[in-house]
Amino acid sequence: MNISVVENVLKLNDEIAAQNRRQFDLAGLFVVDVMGAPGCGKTALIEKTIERLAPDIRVGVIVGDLATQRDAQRMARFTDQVVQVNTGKTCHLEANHIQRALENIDLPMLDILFIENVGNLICPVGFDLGQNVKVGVFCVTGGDDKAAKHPYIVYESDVLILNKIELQPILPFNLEIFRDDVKRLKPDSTLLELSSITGQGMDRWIEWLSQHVPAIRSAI
Amino acid sequence: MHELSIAGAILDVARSRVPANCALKTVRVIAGPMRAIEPQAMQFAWEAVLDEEQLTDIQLELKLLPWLLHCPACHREWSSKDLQSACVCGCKSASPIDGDELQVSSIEVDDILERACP
Repeated sequence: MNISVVENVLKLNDEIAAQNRRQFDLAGLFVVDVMGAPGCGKTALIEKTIERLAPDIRVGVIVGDLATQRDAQRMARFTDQVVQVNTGKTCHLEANHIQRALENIDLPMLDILFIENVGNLICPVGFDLGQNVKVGVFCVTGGDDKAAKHPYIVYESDVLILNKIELQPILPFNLEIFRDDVKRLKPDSTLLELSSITGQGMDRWIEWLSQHVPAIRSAI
Repeated sequence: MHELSIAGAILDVARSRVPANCALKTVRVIAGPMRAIEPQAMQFAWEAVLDEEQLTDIQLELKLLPWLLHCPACHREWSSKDLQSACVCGCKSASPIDGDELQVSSIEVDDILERACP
């Protein structure tokens, strides 16, 4: 017997994400899901962002990794609202990971919550966590073909970051190819080229955030 | 290997739709190209999930949808297996439209009672 179903596979995840989103809305904070390959500089970007925003803007971080507490230890130097999620064999964060992590975060205390996803350009993209925006992070050391090879993250991200831009002059990274691929995959995309190490381009990133979190304008 | 999480979610959705006294035999899933689902990895993940749940003989039929592309020059829309497909007008900058579908479309069940009492 054939039974028609037509139901989203990730329905359960989406329901929990909606619950998370309600909690975020109630607490009045802005939530950013940061996605990108291992080593693309997600942690450094968040660290430098907190440095720029603190102490006026209160930032919390949920960090996802398969294993270790290392990112949480790095973040703890900048904020006491840090939760490390170890996903074990799962290559991305899911809404229920965030729901559990929220038990250990004082949401009303915060203005922005960064969720650093597990290092991966593919798997995290399809899982709604309840975030306000998704940020897709690429890096110059990853090669200029990575946007073309990973269309979903380009398409789904509200802003794209090309990190480690200070290394572009010494690497065979063709900026035009990368920019063209991004533009083709998502004609209305916003691409920010920056370096979280030298600070180059960070102003535009902070400006982009301030469009969503007006309190940043008066803080910086 | 997002296929493992997706396989588990597919099984949950399918099982929730199986009527009483019926056994799940087949699950049909459609997936858009954005989802980057690799059929062999999906099959491997499906078998792993069945094994974990101590289930056997449930087939997964995966239908991968093609890209739906839009040409910025002449506004033609067409479907293609290849994301980097040039438009007939010569433009090579076609953009994808959606493509993130991921649905259980139907299930096939056997009536256990009917089989036991023909």
